[in-house]
Amino acid sequence: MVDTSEHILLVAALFIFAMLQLGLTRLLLNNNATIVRTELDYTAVALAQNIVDQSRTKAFDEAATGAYNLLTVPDDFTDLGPEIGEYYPYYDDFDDYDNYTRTDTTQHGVYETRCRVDYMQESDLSQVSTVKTPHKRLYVQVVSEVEDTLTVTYTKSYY
Amino acid sequence: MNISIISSFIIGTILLVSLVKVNLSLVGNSMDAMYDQVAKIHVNSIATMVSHDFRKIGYGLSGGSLQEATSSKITFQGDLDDDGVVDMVSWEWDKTQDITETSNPNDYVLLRTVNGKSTPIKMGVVKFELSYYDKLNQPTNAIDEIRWIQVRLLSESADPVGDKYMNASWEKKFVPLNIED
Repeated sequence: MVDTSEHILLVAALFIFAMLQLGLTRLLLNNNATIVRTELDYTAVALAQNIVDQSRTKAFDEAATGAYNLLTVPDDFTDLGPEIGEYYPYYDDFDDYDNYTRTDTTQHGVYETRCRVDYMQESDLSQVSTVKTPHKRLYVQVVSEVEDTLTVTYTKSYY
Repeated sequence: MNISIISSFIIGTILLVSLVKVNLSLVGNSMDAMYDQVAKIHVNSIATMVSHDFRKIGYGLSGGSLQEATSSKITFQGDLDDDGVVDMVSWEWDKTQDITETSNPNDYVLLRTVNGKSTPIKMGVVKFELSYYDKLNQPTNAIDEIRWIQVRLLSESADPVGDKYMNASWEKKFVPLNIED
């Protein structure tokens, strides 16, 4: 007959085996999650690049659009954001993309894109400036349906 | 036969079945991951080539760079290698050319042609869709109005895992600087 100590050993062995199986299952699940996230990020990067590609073809500032204007840099630059009456896709300068949002439906679901434009410090292009400078940075944030967030930035200089 | 032998046999069988199941899951998962990775590499390789070419549409000449623009084929001119010579480039997803090397019935050859020299790309492309937009982001088919070009690409694995093919996709809207107003 099986005695109590053998029962305890058996239960312990089963417990260890179950723990191993759980660990392995978690590993497989994480692996699948990574595969899916990579795919989502890949599309998100493409969407963010779309916005960057569009914006980089625009003039640096509203004051610099149209015919050649002699500008006092940076005082003549306008405030960030689209001018009154301007809306996508009629943007004509880089900072019109400030506060621009859009929703894209792709093969991997719906993505929300939010943009922000800031003046950047001349001495350090990674720091936002509170005053006008000849450098603007477009910050594009793309959020997938599963709240996976990705950001892409692009800095444009007047010179 | 006493009770201890029967219980040992039952427990042993459960453990063995569990082990086999775990092993099968591992094999299945690693096959999934491998085919998925291959599909991603294929998509990434094609995306790199498409991006390289499409960004240079019209580079080196003024106006009239697009020659043909359909949902499965685009032909354009552009100085691809910046050597001062304008190249004639064409991308076509040819649904008459099945990829015979794979068991996937949905993949077809993607053909890249530069100055008459064709390179067949056999990377499991099951979708290569081109859409065209004017400067106001409205769909258009008029060649002289096209400013943005959207590419949708879907690649599947050569062989199925179970009954499904692993896939990877990519889509991008190009705004070639040389055809932008």
